Amino acid sequence: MVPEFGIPENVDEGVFEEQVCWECCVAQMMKFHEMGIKNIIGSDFDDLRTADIPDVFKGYNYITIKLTCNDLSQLHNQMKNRKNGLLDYELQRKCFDKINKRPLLINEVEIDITNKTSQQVLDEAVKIIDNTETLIEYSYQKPKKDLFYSWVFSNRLR
Amino acid sequence: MRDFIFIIGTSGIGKTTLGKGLFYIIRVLSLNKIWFLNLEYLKM
Repeated sequence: MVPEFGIPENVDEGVFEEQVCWECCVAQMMKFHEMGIKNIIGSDFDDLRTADIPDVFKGYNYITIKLTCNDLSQLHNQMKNRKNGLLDYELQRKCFDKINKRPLLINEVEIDITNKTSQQVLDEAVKIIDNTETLIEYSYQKPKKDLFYSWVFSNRLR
Repeated sequence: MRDFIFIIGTSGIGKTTLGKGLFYIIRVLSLNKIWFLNLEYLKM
């Protein structure tokens, strides 16, 4: 987690804040890797940053697990019953629409969680992580921005 | 063994639950060194 920080004047607050958080986290992940730690798990970044993963982490053995669901009411209930975390059903629906429709990116594998328990999802994820062949070298062109959601207002993807 | 594992999905879909589950499995079985890094943003 990135500690709190001040925002300079004359910058776009949302863009600056998101950029600081993303770059700090990437630096931290790379440092852990440099120190010999493996299976470093990254999550909860702005959806638009998903498009950066194949660029930033090219050359590494990485995999992206994309969780999808075909039942918005299941997601609604999961959010309603969570012990902590954001409660924003509109954001959930918009992000759900974007992510469900988006084609898979490089080294990305989908798990549909519809009607599954957390243990079933975990078991499936372990199999995928252990058995999926992923690419280290590839050519990659970023998809169009409008395929992603972003909480940053000025990205106009909300 | 992976260098990095990313988990994406809409809010409330279970990203943190899955991340913690993976961390627990690998740590408890002592198969690999692992670090659970939650890229928790200061959301607006």
